[in-house]
Amino acid sequence: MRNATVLIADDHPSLLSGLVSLLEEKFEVVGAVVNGHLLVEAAARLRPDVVVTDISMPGLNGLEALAQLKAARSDIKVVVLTMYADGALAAEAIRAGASGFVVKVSAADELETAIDEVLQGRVYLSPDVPRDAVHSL
Amino acid sequence: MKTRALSRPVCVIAVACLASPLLCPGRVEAQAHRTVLTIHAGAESFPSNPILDSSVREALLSHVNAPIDYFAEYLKSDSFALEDASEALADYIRRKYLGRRIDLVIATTSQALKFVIDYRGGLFPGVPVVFSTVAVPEAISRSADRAFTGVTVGAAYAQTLRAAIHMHPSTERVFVVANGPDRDVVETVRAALRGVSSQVRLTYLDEPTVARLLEAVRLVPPRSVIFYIWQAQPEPGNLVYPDQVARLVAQAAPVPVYGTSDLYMGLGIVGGVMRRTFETGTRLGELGSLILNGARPADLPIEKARLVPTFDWRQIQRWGIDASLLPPGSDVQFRVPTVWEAYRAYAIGTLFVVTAQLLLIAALLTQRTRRQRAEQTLVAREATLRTSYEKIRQLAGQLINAQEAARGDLARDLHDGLCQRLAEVSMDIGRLKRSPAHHQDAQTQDTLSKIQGDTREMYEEIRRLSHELHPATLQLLGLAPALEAHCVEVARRHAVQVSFTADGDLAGVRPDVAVCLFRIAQESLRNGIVHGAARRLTVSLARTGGEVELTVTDDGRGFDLEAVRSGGRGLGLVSIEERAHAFGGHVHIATELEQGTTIRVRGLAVGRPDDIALD
Repeated sequence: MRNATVLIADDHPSLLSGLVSLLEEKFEVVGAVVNGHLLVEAAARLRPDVVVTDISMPGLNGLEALAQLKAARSDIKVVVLTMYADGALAAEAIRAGASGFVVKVSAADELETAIDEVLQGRVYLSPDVPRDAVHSL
Repeated sequence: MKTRALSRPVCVIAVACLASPLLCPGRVEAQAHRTVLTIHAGAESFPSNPILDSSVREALLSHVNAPIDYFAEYLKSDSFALEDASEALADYIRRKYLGRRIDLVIATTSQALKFVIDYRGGLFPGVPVVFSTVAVPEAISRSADRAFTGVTVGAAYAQTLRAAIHMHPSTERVFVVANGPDRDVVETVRAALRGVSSQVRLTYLDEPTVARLLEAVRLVPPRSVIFYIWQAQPEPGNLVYPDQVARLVAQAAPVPVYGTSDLYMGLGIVGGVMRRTFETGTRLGELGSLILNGARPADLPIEKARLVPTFDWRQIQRWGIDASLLPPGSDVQFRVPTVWEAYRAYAIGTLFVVTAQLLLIAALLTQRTRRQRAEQTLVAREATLRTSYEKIRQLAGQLINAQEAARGDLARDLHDGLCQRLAEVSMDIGRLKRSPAHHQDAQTQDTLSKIQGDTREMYEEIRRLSHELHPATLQLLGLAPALEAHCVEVARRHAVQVSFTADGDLAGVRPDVAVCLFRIAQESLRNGIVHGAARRLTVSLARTGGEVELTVTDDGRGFDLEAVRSGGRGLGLVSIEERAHAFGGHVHIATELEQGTTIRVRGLAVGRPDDIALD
């Protein structure tokens, strides 16, 4: 079984390289971009199984890019990797089509699991996120 | 026995008199009644008679120790022929005073004295007589009978005429009224006036009736004076006394009227040199008293009545007479106080009041001017203040925005800098934990886990700080979701119930307005929970047209809005109001003690189009 292909987007280059190193162990990282526009463009070109994207990015932000990605390819799995352990944000991201929501500080522990989960067709929500707002979904 | 009994009181009186002369003021004879009879020529109503009677009586009463019986009889020779009147009066007195001893007879006027002389032998033999006449009759001056004394009351015709001419230097004519049945008396007057002045022409108004006299008086030309002595022509059916005529003449005359009788004073004449009827009466009484008290008439020389220049002040004023031309020693009667004299007290009082009022008015005007100036200053200061206030509000708005910007920057720095770095650290540690075997001993794993835990805590701490500084979700999610998330957060953190509703297109709310509303909601919730101890709170957002409205309600203790405002407390309220003002919004706060609080903010969703504070 081939490794799942992953496309990563984050505007912090050092973090981005850390993520690449982290995910390379288990997945095939097909690309790493630094903003939303590049993400949309790369996703269309590389057709990854999973997209891992930050939310706060210059130009097109993660949520906006997410909407475009899902519009272009509804079966694409997106894991939102963000600084904010925010229920509302998580709810908003999942409402917009994301399948996973991971807080960056927990990336090392959770990101692999999250990708695995979404590839299984499930939703992964980081335990760091308060549940209140998400329950409204 | 009887004789002895009667003699005892007499002895007592005699002893008492010897012991104290004060108890026995005079001889026994002095205590007997004295009878005085006055004979007047004219009727009882003749003006001088009542004056003479009263003054004589008064003098007698005050100078005679004995009780006095005073009687007056009237010859009325002015109305009846002297002979007949005299006889009738003599007969009358004889019968009337039969059996009564008369001690003193007083005769006023020469006619009365003539009567007394003529009938004295029969009526009052040996009785002393006191008289007042114009001249001493020859019958007395030549008589050896020394029982007469009295006062001569000569009239000052010439002096009066001189005085009148002196007081009216431009006088050309003097019209004299000296008209009576007794031609001798009239001639006496004419003789006295003859040759007094070569300057003026004398004209005698010998009119038979008062009516004719008054007609003549009215026609008197200017630069004349009238010298009224008497009009005594008997007019059948028209009894008019000389003083009444004087009044009529003075009323009719177009020129000043002078006279020589004090009876005319006050009736309209200017005045003249004249005797005093009252003084004459008093002197007659005094002479009588001396006689009744034992003096012999022969020892009392005949006196001359005092003649005094007497003038009516009102007439002096009326005719514009120079007061310095009055004869020396003049008695000016009926002096009417000048307006100043009469009203001096009022005038001074009024002046004082007016002055006080003027001062008051001046003070008030000054005060008003000062007040106006103060008001102007106040208005100017108010304007300055308002400008300053507006500037301060602008500054406050700018400050709020600047603060928000700074907080945003700081939050971003923390978030994008530190948090990212910590995330990297955390990720590195995670990778380290899963790296090759020589790191996989239990102690290293524990340490790495601990470092990772610390990193996560630091990360969380900084992220929370960053979030509080500036809710990044506001930009990422928009106002309603961010606020909702905040409500959830507040409810969780404070264990209270916070419900949230949103209505309308809230995504279009301009970011700075959204920040303001978010902050207002944040502050309102915080106030309600921290100060009001609220347990249930609601936040609602609604957009209608171009306007957005935020309402935060709580069930807390509420507060006294005015007290909080005036007390300088409620910085939270100020910040709410300033934030609302910053985007042109209005705040309405409804609260009462124990009644909860509702804070409603309403404003344009896109803010003030001309809001320079947002530049």
